[in-house]
Amino acid sequence: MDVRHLPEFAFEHRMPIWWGTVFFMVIEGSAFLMTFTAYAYLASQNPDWPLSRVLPNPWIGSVLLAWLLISEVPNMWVKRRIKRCELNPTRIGMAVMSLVGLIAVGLRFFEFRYINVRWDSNAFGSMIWALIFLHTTHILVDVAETLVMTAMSFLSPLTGRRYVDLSENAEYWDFVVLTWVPVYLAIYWIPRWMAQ
Amino acid sequence: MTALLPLTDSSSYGNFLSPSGVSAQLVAQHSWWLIGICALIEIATLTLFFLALLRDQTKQANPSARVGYLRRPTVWIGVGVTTTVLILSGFVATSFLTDRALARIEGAEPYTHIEVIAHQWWWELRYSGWEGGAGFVTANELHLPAGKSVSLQLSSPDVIHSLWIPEIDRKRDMIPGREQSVQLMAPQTGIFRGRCAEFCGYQHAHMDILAIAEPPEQFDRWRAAQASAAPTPTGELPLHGAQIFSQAVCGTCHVVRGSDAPGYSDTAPDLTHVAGRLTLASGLLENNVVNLTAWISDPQHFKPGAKMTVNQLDPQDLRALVAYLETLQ
Amino acid sequence: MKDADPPLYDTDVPAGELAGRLSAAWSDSPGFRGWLSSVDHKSIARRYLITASVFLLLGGILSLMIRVQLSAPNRRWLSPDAYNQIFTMHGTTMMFLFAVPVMEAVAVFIVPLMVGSRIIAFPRLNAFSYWVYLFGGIMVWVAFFLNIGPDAGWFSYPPLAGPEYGAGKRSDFWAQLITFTEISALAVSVEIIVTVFKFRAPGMSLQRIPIFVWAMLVTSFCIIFAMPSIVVCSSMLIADRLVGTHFFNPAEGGDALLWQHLFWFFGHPEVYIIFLPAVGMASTIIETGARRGIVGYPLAVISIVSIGFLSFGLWVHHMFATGLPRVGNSLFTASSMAIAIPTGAQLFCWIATCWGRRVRLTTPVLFVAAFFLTFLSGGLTGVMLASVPFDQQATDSYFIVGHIHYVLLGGAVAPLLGAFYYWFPKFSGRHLSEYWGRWHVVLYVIGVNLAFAPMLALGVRGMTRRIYTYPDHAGWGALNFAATLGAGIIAMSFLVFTVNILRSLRQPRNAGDNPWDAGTLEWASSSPPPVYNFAYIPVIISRTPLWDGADAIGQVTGLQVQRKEVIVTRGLDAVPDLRDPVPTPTLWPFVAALATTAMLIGSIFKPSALVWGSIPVAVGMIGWLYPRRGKNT
Repeated sequence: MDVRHLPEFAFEHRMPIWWGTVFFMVIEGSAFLMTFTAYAYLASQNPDWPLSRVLPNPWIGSVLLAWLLISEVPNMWVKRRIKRCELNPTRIGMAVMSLVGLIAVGLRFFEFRYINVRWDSNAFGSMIWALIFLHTTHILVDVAETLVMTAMSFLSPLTGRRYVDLSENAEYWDFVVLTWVPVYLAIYWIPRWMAQ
Repeated sequence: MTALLPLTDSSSYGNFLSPSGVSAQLVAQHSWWLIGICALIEIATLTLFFLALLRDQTKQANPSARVGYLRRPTVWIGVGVTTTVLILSGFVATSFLTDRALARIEGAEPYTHIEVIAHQWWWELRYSGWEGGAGFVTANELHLPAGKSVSLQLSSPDVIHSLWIPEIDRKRDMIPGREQSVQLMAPQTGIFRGRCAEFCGYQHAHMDILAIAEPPEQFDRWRAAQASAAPTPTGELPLHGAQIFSQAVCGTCHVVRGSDAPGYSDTAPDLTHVAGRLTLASGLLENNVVNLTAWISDPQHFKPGAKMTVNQLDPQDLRALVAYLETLQ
Repeated sequence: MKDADPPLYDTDVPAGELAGRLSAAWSDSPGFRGWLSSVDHKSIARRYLITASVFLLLGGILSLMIRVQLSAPNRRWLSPDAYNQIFTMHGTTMMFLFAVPVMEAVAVFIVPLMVGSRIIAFPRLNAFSYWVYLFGGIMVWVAFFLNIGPDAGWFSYPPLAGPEYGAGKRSDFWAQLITFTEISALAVSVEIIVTVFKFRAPGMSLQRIPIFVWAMLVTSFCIIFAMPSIVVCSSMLIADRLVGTHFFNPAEGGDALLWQHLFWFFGHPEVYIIFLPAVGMASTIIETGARRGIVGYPLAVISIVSIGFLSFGLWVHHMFATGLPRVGNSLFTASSMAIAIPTGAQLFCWIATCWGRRVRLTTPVLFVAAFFLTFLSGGLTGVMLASVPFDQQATDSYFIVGHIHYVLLGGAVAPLLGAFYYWFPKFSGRHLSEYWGRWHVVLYVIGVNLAFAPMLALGVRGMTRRIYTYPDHAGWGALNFAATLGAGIIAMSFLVFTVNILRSLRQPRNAGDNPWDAGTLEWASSSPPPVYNFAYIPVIISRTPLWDGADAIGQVTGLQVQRKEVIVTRGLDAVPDLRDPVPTPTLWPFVAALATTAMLIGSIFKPSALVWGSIPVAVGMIGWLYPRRGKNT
């Protein structure tokens, strides 16, 4: 059996790295799931959940949600360009996504001021901060990765396998966006609905 | 230092397969079935395996043969799996039925209510009032009316403990922030040892509780006596001891109802009737003058890590203090 | 970026030169730096094995200290403080630093060989996981030697382990150790899954995957779904302790039982994470001993998969005494009993495999017999404990101590020792002595039964767990003495084992490529395997290719020889799909692991270390992933 004709790279499930990324997302997804479970459990154990009277103010979180959802437009676009191995559109797209990511990080730090309940005031505060902490690490990791990859894509000519890494990075951003939706609901709206 | 004196063995450490409580007996019966059938399964499986392993050792098997001698092996595996399923279903059913029977026992009308509060490393017992007297607090000895159901309200203010009196009933965890209410019944009179079963820190090993089951009339007499305040000491030595009790550190933690010591019954055992108890330090030492003296002087020798500190009293004061405590019948 | 030289394929070089050229391309650079930089799965697995053995020795010494203390009533050799640290460290070391890593170590060595690959997926991540594991273990043991070892049990129930009752830094070290071992275990799981998915030899379709590989695949999935739970709860615990959150504080809306749910949602699968690899090992040994593929292969695979699934539905049986609703408890009785069905099916498959064969009674096979002579007591006491009423009497007594040790020493360690004898020729090129091996088995079986059967009886007689001493009049002295004797005999069996290994290491490497006449691919390579595993990646047409005659294994050609290259195959049918350049050795995983260690230990003392500590970690990661001639990950 001769394999010299086989290609050196491909995208998505043909690549080991894609599976690696998927399983790390599964691991982190399970961590989110367990945190939500803990949240639901504590809410069920406390008849007066949310324990605080002042609840997190949702406006900046909603802006972030909108921003993250909109960011999927350039993200989808850049993913397609990456998979076609188009150098210049990829560079532009990566630069755009870096900027988008930095703004999202800025919004997140702004958002901290509107949580209105401290992590050490009660279990509700602890839970809220656990969720936002978990999600913030994901944003930070992906934005840092995007910045480094953007720099790399400008500094060195991209070979085929680099494009695979870039596409994994773009897919990870989907995960960051996707996880924000339930976290956002759990921080801002579920407590409001439960308080009524 | 006084040698550790063992408790005279009037109490049993408990064997949950030959118990005396009604609930524990039900569980024991169920357990014997489980153990017996599991032992049979173990013997059968071992026999099969060693037959398979050793039976053909002498045969000159053709080493390159791909097929063995067992015809239709999957059928035999199927038989094995089906047997397993049947036995396990039986186990699930009997376990469920036993649990139901236990639930029925626990539905009986209780004779009295007792709050059992587990502390690091002793037991606080709060008996509720009844027509013959007011409620009272005692420690480490759970008096029960034999043949009557009592309701226990379990709680813990510090870490997780678990109440286990093997011969009377199963374990119940005592978890801070959660109250659990259970009912138990000792059908026979006797002294049954119980202990904390959940790891709770340094002195988890020395957190025993004595369940003392007596005929109901005797139990009523006991609780009437417990409900009363401590007698005022008479005689020079006990009077001096009472003074020491309230002036030295004792009274800051321990309560003697009727004395002027300000203690709190939830920081340390209530000592109002300490002299009537069988043991000291949660079942660790037999309650006698020698042990009491040794315990007061150096609790850390017996229970390292316990909250009670070393007391450097001069011998005269110590004798007086012990004499006073001995009057608290 | 392409290499400067034109590609040189294995078909272009004379057969005699191929080995030399492959070695040149695949070997680590010499010297200490080269050693630190290695990404070869076999050298990393050897490090894992040696490290896990050291932790086994340390954990074993602790268990002997416990047994000496309990050998007679009223012993005061160890203070309660020392005793609590010792039993906590014993459990923590054995579970997190020995049992899980040692199974992974064997898998990291054997799985790539068994599926006919030259590498484990993500070799640099593999190096990183080892270093993180090593540093985590060193951290907690240094803390222990400094008398700040964790002392709240390997389960660390709050509030005892919480901020109010767990004073000092002790439980912080425990919680952070969990972070270290979880990072490591999760990374290895992903490596193993992707190795099995994408690096199988051409022809190894799903129904030709060896049982051990199936077992490791399911184990890795269990790790991926179970361990996030303990990552979450140990992070909550350390947050409660360090920054004042209230996850487990009932006074502020938290709940102590939340910990138990999260911990046992991990803790129960954990037992199967240790047990399933052992099942795979025992299956492999039985197949080779009976010289026959396992009978009922599909059933065996299905039972392994269903054990994996069911293990997630049993956690509440650790909490039957906490006062949860009765109906729920009964459901967990049923699910806990149900897991005995696939386990039973597995045992019957083995019996059927042996039936009618003249099984060669080698030391590995004898260890499978040892498994039957010890594990059954553990498994069947487990069935009893599934019953709520029985459990409420037996839980937290020495009955449980006896039960878990029967399960772990019988169900996991016995097959593991068998596997060690079985694969030792592959690890080292040498045989272990069968004579000493038989002594090892006999002493082990006697020791395990003598140590743990008395514990079952002690539990029935009311002896609770985790007590540092007990009074004379409890009547527990004789049984405890017997248990201590048993522990001593187990220790002796390991002494025999050590002597056996040391003797063997002085012998020449003369084991031969396939000393047991086994059927699976790891034996198609030499013993020990060359750094590139296979000069030609094999092409197979059966589950036991080595038993199908010399022509049954084909060869993959057309891979380059001047650089490290492997093929990636399709997940289901293992048809070659890509040629994959392999990452070169590098120091960066080591650097990243050091940075991670600094960050995690720093955060115990100053939570803000998580912030500033992440910068060196990021630098390490960038160095690791930065492209150098297209070779990374």
